Amino acid sequence: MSERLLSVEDLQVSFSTRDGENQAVRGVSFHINAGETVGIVGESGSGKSVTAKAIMSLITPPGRITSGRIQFQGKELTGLSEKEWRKLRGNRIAMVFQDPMTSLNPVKKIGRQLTEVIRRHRGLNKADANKEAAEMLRQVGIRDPEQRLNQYPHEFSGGMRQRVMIAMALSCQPELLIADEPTTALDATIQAQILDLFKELKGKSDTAVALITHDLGVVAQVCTRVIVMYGGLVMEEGTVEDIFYRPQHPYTQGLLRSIPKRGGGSRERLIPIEGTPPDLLNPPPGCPFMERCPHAFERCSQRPPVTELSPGHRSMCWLAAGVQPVAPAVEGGVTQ
Amino acid sequence: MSGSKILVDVNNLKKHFSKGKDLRGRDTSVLKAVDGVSFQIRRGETFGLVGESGSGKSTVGRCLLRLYDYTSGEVSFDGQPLGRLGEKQLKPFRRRIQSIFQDPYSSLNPSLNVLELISEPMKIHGVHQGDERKEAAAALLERVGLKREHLYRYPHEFSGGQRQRISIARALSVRPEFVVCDEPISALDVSVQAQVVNMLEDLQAEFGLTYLFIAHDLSMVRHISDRIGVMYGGRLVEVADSDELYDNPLHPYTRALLSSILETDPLKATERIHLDGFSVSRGEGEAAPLQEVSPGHFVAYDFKE
Repeated sequence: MSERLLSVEDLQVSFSTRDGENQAVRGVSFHINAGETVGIVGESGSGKSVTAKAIMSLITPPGRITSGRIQFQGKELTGLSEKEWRKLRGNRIAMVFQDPMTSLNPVKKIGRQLTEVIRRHRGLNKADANKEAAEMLRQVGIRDPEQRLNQYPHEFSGGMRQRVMIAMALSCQPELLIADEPTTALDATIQAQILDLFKELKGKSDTAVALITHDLGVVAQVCTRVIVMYGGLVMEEGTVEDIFYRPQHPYTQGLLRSIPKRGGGSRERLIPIEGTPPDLLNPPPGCPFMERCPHAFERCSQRPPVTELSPGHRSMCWLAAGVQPVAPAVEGGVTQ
Repeated sequence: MSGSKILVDVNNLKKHFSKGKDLRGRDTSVLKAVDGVSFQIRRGETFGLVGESGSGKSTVGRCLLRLYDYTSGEVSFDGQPLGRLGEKQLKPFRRRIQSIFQDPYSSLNPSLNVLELISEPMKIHGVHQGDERKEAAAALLERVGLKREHLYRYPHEFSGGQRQRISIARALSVRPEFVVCDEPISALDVSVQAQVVNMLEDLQAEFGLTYLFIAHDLSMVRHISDRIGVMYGGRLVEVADSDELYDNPLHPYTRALLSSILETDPLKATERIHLDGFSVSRGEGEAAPLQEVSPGHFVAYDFKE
């Protein structure tokens, strides 16, 4: 099942602001195969959500895609008309957002919102669509689905609403589901349930999932492959084992070190990444992590090439490319 | 300062909100946000308070700050009950008890520069005068990892992590003994959280601070806290030393909560405990008292096993 479903090549997105161009995504390339679950991790400003929106063609002015190609099953998506998009979006590529409170219509019953989607995309009649909707709710773990269809969004808890959103997204059996921080707004125990749901779906359906998150725990639990973003670029990419056991990029390494270990006793001192993420109005020409990197050296002021360390494990770092500092490491790369 | 080990003593605290008034008289029901909570915080320790949204953990924090007048119960600080004090009598305690909130974007007045922000509490409480005050502000700013030249900048010029540092400097400017930290790192980027946590720990050692650390990030709470209280439905269901709580949770809710921590190791999938197995209902009857099951480990037996 390694059929290539989506490929993104050299994607660049920028937003015009009063202070200049905010280059949110600065040349991102990756692919998603059919049926796999890929985590796209990064902190705020890394460009992960903008990348997702670009794939869905949801970038609106002042933002625009300045260059790059996005291909879905071999078909170019950039430049499609809105009419053509309407056939794709929701039907073959679906999206779930962070906030389940605002993405449902509060004055329409859940059942009507679900059947609307099913009827539009799958051409079922009302009775069949109703049955299908109930079945979808059951699949995402909602009890008494027939009754629930007659309720309004406010009668659902946050976790239940997110389940409804996922059911809605899956109702058309899309080939790709993009989930942007689907559990961030939820409580810990509810988050765990939703992630279990994603895991279950992985076995049951052929839908590929792109899971966008800032939480490495979410990625470790659910994904098979990981794309690590920072400063509008992909820093490292690999299987979960590559990323969690053999991280090459100093940013990935720092991120993994800075979270408290579950097994380790309390009060063990944390190892933070010093400094702050780069300003994307004036992004550094070289590696965006240079300022904060403990290994930074003079070559890092040029953008590093992407090096393949083992099949599928790639890193954008001069060290991975085998370039070593000639002079001692740049002092002041680490600020205390 | 008295020599007692207990700095903050919370005794059967209740805070009920009327839901009737804002619903145009339609309903006069009461939300029991905090419903009979008792615990003590020892001098110099970090007491963690965890629970989900709506569990009442932030309301407890706000009651300790006397931002809310509570419905019943008592909070004593250094032996002095605060509940009935008027604003004037409270003022010295307002200096000794400070707070840091979650959102560093909305908790700093955007029209004040950093010097004014840090000096404001000092002005109110008459700590330092004139140039001395400015000097103290600059020293604090450097202590939290920013620079003296940042004194004349405004909040919008700083990142989230830097703003949280400014909030910390502001809270510490009046040399408090006790700081209520309500989700101080949850709005920060992952790579910045560890910086702020380390700083809070360093400052605690340096100034002998006592913290109430309210959070939902369970692994971070374990890291920073000496003892932890678990809240559910407005009640405290379990209190223990942090390692003991994580190694040997007794209350079913604590177990479910801990099992939802996401392991950052792809080969270790956590066995999830779901919440159906027990019943704790909000606001029915009196809160079950906490019972000490082993030294320092308390649990409320309000569940059926």
